[in-house]
Amino acid sequence: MQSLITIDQVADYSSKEVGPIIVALAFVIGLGGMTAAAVVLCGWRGTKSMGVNWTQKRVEIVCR
Amino acid sequence: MSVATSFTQYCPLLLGGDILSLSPSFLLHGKFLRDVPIGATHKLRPPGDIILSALQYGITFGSLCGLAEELGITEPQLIETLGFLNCAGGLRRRRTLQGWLIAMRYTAIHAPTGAINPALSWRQRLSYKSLAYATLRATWPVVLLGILVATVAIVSGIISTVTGLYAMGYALPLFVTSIYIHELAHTYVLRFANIKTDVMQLRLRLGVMHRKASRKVELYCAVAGPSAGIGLCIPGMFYGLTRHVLVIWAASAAIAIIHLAGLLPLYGDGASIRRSWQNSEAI
Repeated sequence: MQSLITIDQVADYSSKEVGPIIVALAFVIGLGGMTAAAVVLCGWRGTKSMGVNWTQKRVEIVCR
Repeated sequence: MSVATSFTQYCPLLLGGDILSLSPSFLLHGKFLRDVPIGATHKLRPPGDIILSALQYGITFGSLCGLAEELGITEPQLIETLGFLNCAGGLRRRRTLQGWLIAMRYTAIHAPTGAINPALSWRQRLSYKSLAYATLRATWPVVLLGILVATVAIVSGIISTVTGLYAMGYALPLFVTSIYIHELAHTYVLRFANIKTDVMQLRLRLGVMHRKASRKVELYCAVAGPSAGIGLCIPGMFYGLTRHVLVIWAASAAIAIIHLAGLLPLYGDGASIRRSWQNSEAI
């Protein structure tokens, strides 16, 4: 199938930024996942605290 | 180089009643399609020029398909052309309310199969207003999800109401504003070099379209964006540290790190810096 358009070599339509927004979305999804996990594990209004233990690379959820 | 058939995958969902037209950034000169801000001239193979000519004045998709059939253009050729135009930000679509309801029904029916139609790209000549609109279009999923997560966290007692309100009232607006300032910084560097720019948005992708610049301008442009975004976060980090308001410090730091991630050489600004560096080594 022959194309109807021959692209000019100087055209670069791929250079659009997505990094910062994707990283932010991933971050918010991560927080959402932690929140959902806390609600599932401790029940509604059952979570006392929640945090990330970077040295042991795990999320710690403390229930009431 | 001819258009690769992969452009077919960029053609958005189109209904017969949708009115399609060409973006003002694209000018048709006989058998050439000129993308003015990019400085690119794409060659059209007849009867592709007739199709583009029809798009220039606005035509319904149904009529465009009929015209293509009369001209002997196959459906894959037409879809590929429209896909390319969408990828380049050159396709505009106007749809009635009834059309939107039909489109939503089609999307809902096909979503369980994993078939997701590409979104229509949005491209306009860059101004403060168009950049703000494009930034909101690109960041609304993050904002919406952030509000939802914060609300659930407040209501379920995981975080205090004050912390949640800081997250919604400070972090999210700071994020959106930093993205806006990031793109604005790119624009200022390009304007300083007398380069015209368009702003383009496609789903989460947001960017400034421009013709190829010198290595120095590309480098300064690529560094300016993340630097401006990080710079906007510094006062918040300083305030959070000095006044011991952890949530403000954490939100500012997180958003600064998000902008810093843009400097990774894999994509976006980082890739631009890497290309500029490689070009200088080649010289």
